[in-house]
Amino acid sequence: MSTPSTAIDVSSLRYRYHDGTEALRGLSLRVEHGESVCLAGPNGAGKSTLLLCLAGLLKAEGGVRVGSGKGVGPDLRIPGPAAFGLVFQDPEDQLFCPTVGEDVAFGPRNEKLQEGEVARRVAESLSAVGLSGFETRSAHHLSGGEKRRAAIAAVLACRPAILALDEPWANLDARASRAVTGILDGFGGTLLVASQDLYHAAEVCERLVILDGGTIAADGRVKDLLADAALLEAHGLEFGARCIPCPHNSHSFAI
Amino acid sequence: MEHDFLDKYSSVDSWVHRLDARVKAIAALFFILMVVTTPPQHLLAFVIYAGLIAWTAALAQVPLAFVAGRALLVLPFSALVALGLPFLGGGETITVLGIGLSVKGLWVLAGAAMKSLLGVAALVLLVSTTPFSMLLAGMRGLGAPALFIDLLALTYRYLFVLFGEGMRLRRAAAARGYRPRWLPQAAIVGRLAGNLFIRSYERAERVYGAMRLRGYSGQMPTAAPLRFRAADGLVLAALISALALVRVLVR
Amino acid sequence: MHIPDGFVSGPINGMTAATSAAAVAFSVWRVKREVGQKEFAVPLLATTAAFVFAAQMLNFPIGGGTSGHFLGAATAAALLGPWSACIILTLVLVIQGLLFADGGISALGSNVLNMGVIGGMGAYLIMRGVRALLPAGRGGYLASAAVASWASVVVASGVCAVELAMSGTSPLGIALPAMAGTHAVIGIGEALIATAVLTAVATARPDIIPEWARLHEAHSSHGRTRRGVWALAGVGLALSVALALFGSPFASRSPDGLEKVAEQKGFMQAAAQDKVVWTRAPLPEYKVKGVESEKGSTSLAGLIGTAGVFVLGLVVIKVVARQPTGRVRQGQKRK
Repeated sequence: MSTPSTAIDVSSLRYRYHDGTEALRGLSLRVEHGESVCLAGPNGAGKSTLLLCLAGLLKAEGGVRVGSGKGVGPDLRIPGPAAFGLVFQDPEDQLFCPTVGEDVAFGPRNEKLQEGEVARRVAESLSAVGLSGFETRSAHHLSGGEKRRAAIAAVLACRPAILALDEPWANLDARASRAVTGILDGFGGTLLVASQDLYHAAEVCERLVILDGGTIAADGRVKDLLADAALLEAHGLEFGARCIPCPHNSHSFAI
Repeated sequence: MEHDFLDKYSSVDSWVHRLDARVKAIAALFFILMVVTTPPQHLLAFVIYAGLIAWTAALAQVPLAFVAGRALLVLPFSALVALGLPFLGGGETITVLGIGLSVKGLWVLAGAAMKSLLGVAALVLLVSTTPFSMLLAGMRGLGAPALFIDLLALTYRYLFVLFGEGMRLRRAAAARGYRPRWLPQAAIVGRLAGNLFIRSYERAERVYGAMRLRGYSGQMPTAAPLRFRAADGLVLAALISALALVRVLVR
Repeated sequence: MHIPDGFVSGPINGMTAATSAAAVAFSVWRVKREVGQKEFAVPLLATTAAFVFAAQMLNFPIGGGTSGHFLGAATAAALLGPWSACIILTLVLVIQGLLFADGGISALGSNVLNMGVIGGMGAYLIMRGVRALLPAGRGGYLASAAVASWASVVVASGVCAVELAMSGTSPLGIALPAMAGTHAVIGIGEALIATAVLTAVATARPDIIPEWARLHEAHSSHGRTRRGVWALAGVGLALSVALALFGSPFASRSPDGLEKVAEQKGFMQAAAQDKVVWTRAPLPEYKVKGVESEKGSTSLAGLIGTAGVFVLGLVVIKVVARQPTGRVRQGQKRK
């Protein structure tokens, strides 16, 4: 059984919402195994739509191959939890069990693993996101950052080869953002992050793909594209500057 | 809506908390059954029932004031429905403060009040000593249909989310000057509710997607089955016999 | 309308619990069979139940400083069908009773009967019936939903009063006017809210209510006949139930034609003395054993009898006539 050379292969993807909006207009993209890619773009560019199409939740025209290309479910579009894991923008949608432990165990249990193995995976995933001991907590009592991390743990428990996240740093404070960045840094497989937060994305991703109006506007190394301020501005993006006091001279700042 | 009261004492580690969820559920149900079938004239029985509640609360380290406080919330309904009875019910009357009150009516009122209070108290104890997911597992273990349990779990999970969204919608409307004063403005409430329903529908679509992505194929997976210990059986037997004896013998 | 423990007697609760359990079991069976994408129904039923729970916190003023609450059963029935509505209301009532002291666990059977079965399934029946009487179109759809919302609330409150009366908690003469009277006003709020909800949903997400989209299609004569049958059934049932509940207790005590003749001709005694073949009639003399109130007893007997005949009639028709059963719900997802 040969594994395809690329993790994700998308060709001429088109998707139109039922109200007529064309979200994706002939998008083509290739992602290698182990790459970490940031999908950036203004609102409405199609980032979330693309992720949903990859996950098989939206039926698009064109070619989509994720992982080995074998699908599961009644319509065979979903790549399967071990192939592709998606963390939504709203963690509330992904934490649907009464306790965090049950949510993280949901994936492994659906794989019909033994309870001992399930418990191991749960402990492992919670520890990877810094939420050890949260098994009996209920989701609605968690803070925003904790919910985001719990959702990531729930997806990680399925041990996906490709991990995709939709705006993982949205609405998080600095501490929680750092925690998420740490988690993504530690992920060993293929990473796909849709985010407008280039500051955090740059710490985690090597490749930057800029989406605008349903197509790819730019595709290159993060460091190269971020230096092109005009390009960023043209597509509604901004690479935020960070000010720290200069250690040698308290009156000036370094960027 | 504060929901902390639901889980306030469920993580305490007491002897009662450690009982099998099924035992606690059956005990609570049986207790309510006995209370509800006891004629109000058997006042001593009701005193014993109340004593049982107090004793269990103490064992479970749940403050009695908390249990009583939540139980008293049920009294307004009693007042609404049965308060008129002593004034209107026929038959024998006694005079209190110069007003003739029907004895039969008084008994009905007293019975209804005592039973509803005790019923709520039993459930408060049950819920305070058993995390909701354990309670659901217990119900599943007792034979409740799996689909129903799954639905209860999901509904419970999104209860507060939806309520929060509803509150936000209402605050937004109030901020724009909406203050319901007369009936036709119910239509505006309706529009808010319609908005809320669409949100709940779209939430269901997203949750369904999340479930499918993690391997859902029609049935929620279940944890390992609960294990019944000898101690659980003994406690249950003791409770049931005690309650049955009180019901039958105490007048 | 949530009845706490101790207000309805054991036998009444037992009867309503048995009826409700049967209705809910039947609804679960129908939901599993009817919905196209069976799995989506699970999160949808749950979030809609959460919605109904939240919506029931909505109160609106009904004059005199008091406020009424939204029930949501008829709305749920209009949006998702009668079986789903029954399940949803049951979920809401179980959670309300278990966690929020709103409705007693021992009275769950009565509450589910009033709000889930009558409120939800009954509302659906009334809605279909009224809709068939009105010209086809969106106005007819909304008007039927409004009428069904109002009627289901009033009838549910009436049945609640009957349950209280039959348990000896509150005399029927007081409970019925009080409950039905206040709910006749509350029902108006329910109808207004239901109409607004359905309009809002139909405007923003027409795919959720497949019937709304279909309402502008040309109706075949087959459709018209089907609607006509539903109309007759719905209105007929509603009238029968109303008569049984509220009319039969006041039925005349005078002997009917046969009895009068039997008295005159002297063979009335003979009938009483002869060996009675059928000794185990469940509702002798149209009375329910164990129910104190005479009027209530007759009401209940009438209701049980009417329901029994209706169900029997349905079964006979389904068996005798070869008709496609079930109504497959078109895809509820937008994918």
